[in-house]
Amino acid sequence: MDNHTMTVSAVSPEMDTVDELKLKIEQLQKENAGLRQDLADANIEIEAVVDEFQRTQVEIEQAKKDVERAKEQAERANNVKSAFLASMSHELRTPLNSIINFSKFVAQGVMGPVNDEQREALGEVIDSGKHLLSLINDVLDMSKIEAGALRLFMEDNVNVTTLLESALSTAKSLVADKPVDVTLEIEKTLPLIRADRQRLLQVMLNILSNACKFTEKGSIRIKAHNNDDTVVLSVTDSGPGIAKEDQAAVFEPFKQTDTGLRQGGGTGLGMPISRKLAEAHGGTLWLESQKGEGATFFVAIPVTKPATSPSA
Amino acid sequence: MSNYPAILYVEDDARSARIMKMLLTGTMNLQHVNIFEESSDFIERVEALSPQPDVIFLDIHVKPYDGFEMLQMLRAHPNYRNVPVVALTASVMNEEVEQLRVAGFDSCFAKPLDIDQFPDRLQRVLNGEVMWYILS
Repeated sequence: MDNHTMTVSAVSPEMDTVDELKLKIEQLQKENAGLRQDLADANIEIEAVVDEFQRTQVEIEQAKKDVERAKEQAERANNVKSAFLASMSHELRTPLNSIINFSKFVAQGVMGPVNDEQREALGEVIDSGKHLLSLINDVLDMSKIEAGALRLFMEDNVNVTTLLESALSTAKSLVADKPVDVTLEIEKTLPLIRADRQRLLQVMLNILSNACKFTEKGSIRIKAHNNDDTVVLSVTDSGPGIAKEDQAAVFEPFKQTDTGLRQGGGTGLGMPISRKLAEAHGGTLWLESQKGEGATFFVAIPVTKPATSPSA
Repeated sequence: MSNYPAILYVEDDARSARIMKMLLTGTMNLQHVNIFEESSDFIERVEALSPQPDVIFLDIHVKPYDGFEMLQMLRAHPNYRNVPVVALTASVMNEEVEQLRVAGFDSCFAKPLDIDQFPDRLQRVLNGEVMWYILS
């Protein structure tokens, strides 16, 4: 009210009360008009803000729709990819059935006598066929993972012991006649776990086939124990070991270590796939090794934790 | 020649059918092996078999009825409700195997068929075992 006080004091004392009042009213009217103007300006500003807000909302709605559409498109593309990979798998496997099995029948002498040289050549056809089959499986698995299209089929009450016994018998046949002792050691109180049985077996077979490939003599020890609601599976071999600087490459697709390339002949996809599969179980896969001292691969799977889809 | 088990296999791929025939009648010396190369009049033809099959192998991509439809027909028939039915398929991506499991197949054998393991696996299926270990 300072303004009013000043205005009043500026008025001459001779002025009569009516004039004074008139003047005051005029002043007040002016101020009122000013306030009205201010209010109108403020209203315009508010309206502008509201407009802006509404425009933003429309834009957000539009963006939401765009995202939704993009998501649908991505899902459609993924379904197409999945269907393509599934049909590729079928189309590639069917001729391999003929290649491998007709060669086996001929090699067995079912179609007449075969000499040693012929049998050996047929053995090469069979081995190459099997190798091709494993490459096809790996490439298709990797494609599925990268497309985000791999799904697990989780079951409750998966018995790790049964699974490892099956892996053990495969490992024994893989070391064949090398002086390698394959053993299985399972903790008695191992709980049943929630897992995709087939995929977990695949992980263990991948690890074991590497161990068998690289271990010329000594031992391969398969173990399983329970550790704080996590079942830890491990495979320890007495092979050449993996140098620290090569260890990361083991889990990168299409990157094999020098030793791997010399001895392996695989795609180098087995371990990257296995790690993704372990992660999809809510678990982890890692290795501990020193050059010249063998290697241990660990797979830790939570006993109850639900799984998610693996991402690329 | 062995009388048991009697086997029915439905397979439209001539090479796959021939492999199975060589395996069952040749290597395993089984006497009662029937192969349907398509699935028209499916149930009628199964009913006409003598002896009746102890186990049935179905390829999935068969016409006019696919493996799933044949399985349904078998399960709806009082005589075949409990006969083991095994999917024998090259479609073994996980999703497809899950579909087979949900549909009610008793087991799944993957193509390429592991002919060395086959006799043992067949015996296990006949003993009522369920086998979804398609990796070999």
